[in-house]
Amino acid sequence: MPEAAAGYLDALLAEFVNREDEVKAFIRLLEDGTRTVLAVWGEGGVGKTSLQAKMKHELALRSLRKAEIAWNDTYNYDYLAIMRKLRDDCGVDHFKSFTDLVNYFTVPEYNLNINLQGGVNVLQDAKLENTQVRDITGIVIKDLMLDKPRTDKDVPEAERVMRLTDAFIPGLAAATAGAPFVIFMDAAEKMADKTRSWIWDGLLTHARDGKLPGVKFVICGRAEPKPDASFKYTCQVRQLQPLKLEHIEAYLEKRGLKQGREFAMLLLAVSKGNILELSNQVDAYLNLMEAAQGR
Amino acid sequence: MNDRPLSLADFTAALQAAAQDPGGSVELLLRTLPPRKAALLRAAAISHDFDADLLQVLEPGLGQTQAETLCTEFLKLSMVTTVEGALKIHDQARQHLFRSWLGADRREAFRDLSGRLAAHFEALKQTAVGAAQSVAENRQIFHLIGANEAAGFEAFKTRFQSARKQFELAECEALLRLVREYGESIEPVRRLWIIHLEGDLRADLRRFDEAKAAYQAVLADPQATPELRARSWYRIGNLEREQRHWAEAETAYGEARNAAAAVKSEGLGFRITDGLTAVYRETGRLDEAEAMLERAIKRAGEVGNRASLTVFYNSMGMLLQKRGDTGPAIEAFKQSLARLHEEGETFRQAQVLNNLGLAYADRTEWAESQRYLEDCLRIEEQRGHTLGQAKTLHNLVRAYIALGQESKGLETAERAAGLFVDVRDWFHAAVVKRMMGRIQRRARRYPEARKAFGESLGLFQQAGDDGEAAATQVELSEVERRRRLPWYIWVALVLFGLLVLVFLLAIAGDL
Repeated sequence: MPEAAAGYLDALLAEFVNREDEVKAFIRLLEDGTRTVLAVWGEGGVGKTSLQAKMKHELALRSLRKAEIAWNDTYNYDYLAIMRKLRDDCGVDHFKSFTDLVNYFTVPEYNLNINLQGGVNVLQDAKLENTQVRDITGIVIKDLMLDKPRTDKDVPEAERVMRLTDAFIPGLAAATAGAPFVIFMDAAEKMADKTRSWIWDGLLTHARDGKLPGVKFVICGRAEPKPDASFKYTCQVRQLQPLKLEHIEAYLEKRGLKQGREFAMLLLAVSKGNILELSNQVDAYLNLMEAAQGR
Repeated sequence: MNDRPLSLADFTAALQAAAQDPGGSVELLLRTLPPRKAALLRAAAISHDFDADLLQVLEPGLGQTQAETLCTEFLKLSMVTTVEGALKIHDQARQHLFRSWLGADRREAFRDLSGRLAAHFEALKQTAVGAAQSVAENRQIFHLIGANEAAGFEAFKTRFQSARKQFELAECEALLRLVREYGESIEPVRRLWIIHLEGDLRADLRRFDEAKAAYQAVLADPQATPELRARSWYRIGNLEREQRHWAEAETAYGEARNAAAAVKSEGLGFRITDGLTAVYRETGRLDEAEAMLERAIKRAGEVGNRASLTVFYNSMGMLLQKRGDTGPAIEAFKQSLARLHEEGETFRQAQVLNNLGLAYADRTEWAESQRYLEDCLRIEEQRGHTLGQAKTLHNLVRAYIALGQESKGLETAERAAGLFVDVRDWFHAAVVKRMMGRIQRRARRYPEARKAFGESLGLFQQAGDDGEAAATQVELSEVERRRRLPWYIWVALVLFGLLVLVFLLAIAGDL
């Protein structure tokens, strides 16, 4: 499967057309110290996923790191799931306090190992018996991956969100220091209202306010994001438009089809420039050609 | 829908025909695949994503290698992507393929496949933990609806209501999105239930207009059952009451009561009664409210409905308190609290503790008031109920101020206002800010008072309460006037100036 996935990405990049402006906007995002968010929106099938693949390729060319979150219908990434995913994608080492706090809020009878100032509560942790203090700095805290609040201690949700975010942000800043780090968020239209509020008010504000230097966000979705005025200088919103005839011609060429302008015009008329429709039609045509040649 | 294999010669015509149908290009593509492969891809679209294991669930005779090869081949199609190790058909395409299963011609096969998928995710649910378990459970419910709509829908409702009770509103949203995929294929009354539950979610998110629109949509449907009608009217009553639209609330509760007459649910009837008595209480019809509550307490006692008794005692306490009978009110609240203790209902104690705190505040027994309110706050915090916390903090401000803890009072008020804003309760946020303005004004901290009154004014305007906004504007203007020096200071200054002038003239004369 990993080979197939790599092949899929290669194919996606090989067939990529248009979107020069969006790719340029992405490169500016990487290079510009002020901009932190690029929000791309457009109808389903217009090419958001392909654009993200292209952006990821640009990152790879620059040897820059990334993390990815894609909402789907069966799992609703909430604030905690987002932070866990980013932690795992960035490397867990900088997130010990955060992980410790996650366990504290979710695992019954769990005691904090690391206090909020970053010190280690040596005496509280019975699991650390026979351990030298100097070894404790290398403590490994494993997230037990529970997602419901612990039943023996009902910390209010608002406080959980606040404290976890506070513990997470310095970890993310440390883990991403040195070079731009891009967080891709896809299918943003599927996130819950509460999650959307947290992303803008709890996460992106830290980036806007300079607490996450180097961290860049690319948010893709079907609905137009409407950031408040405070994001005026840090967030750019772009709408993806359907492909035009010249893009379809370029696409057909990349798929190895030289059927001429008329065929491209026919495809434009039936696909209305929607890349998903177009690619399905071209896939179908190529299947038929292959079958005809095989006969 | 045409499943006939396509030839190259037919392509242009088929392409043009496909343009007329939503999902036409997907069907076109499927017609160019070998029939077995096309059928399996269509089946895979029942699930939200798939891998080799899942293909084997869908087609039990498939070997592991065959399934993996098929996955590799599917991934070559433009509409299939890979996300976190699984294959995923593009949303638009999957939606079309999923809907293609809901028609009568494929319904039987769909039930069978859904049943297998439900069993598969049921097994996964047993071994998974944390988020993975939630995902498996949601997917199991989703496919159970396909296999056995009645059982699946009950499972969905149970999970939704449990998530809602825990304030896991993101989870509620995810569940609704899943069940909505079945669209019109769901039995009409269940579709109305979905709309009703959407209304509940919107109400929890304090999007009152959206919530009301959902309930009204249920009521406008002739297929709505008396129970759904009663529940929708009751919820509208609650929404109106929350917004202090007393006349609308009374009408809605009245309609709810009429509809509930045909429903064998004493609990629902009791809830409607409680809502109605709250409206009577707030509109000053205390005798009517009391008579209704007495009847309700008697009836709840007769049928042994302990849960409703706790509610009615609490409401009776509020009513008596409103009348100024704080002693009997405290007794009623304690009756309610004792019953909640017996039932081990921790969270529901919060409201009664809050009321006890207020009753003691009315008797200026501030230490007792603070004690009950802080108990209440602890429960609200445990519960993660933002609005409950905001209301309790608001009430605590008065106790702190009365006990001479002014800075704690102001800090608490600031927290309360912030929480009210968080839940878009602009009106109460404005009330708290105005209270802060008054505290600051009393302490002659005019700049702080101006700031608080100004914020309060803005919030009242945002809440659309012109009357309160105008009243706050008056208070703000009064504080603004404090910027200017009072007349007697001006007189003193003029006199002082004259004295200096006389003194200077005298010196000049001497010279």
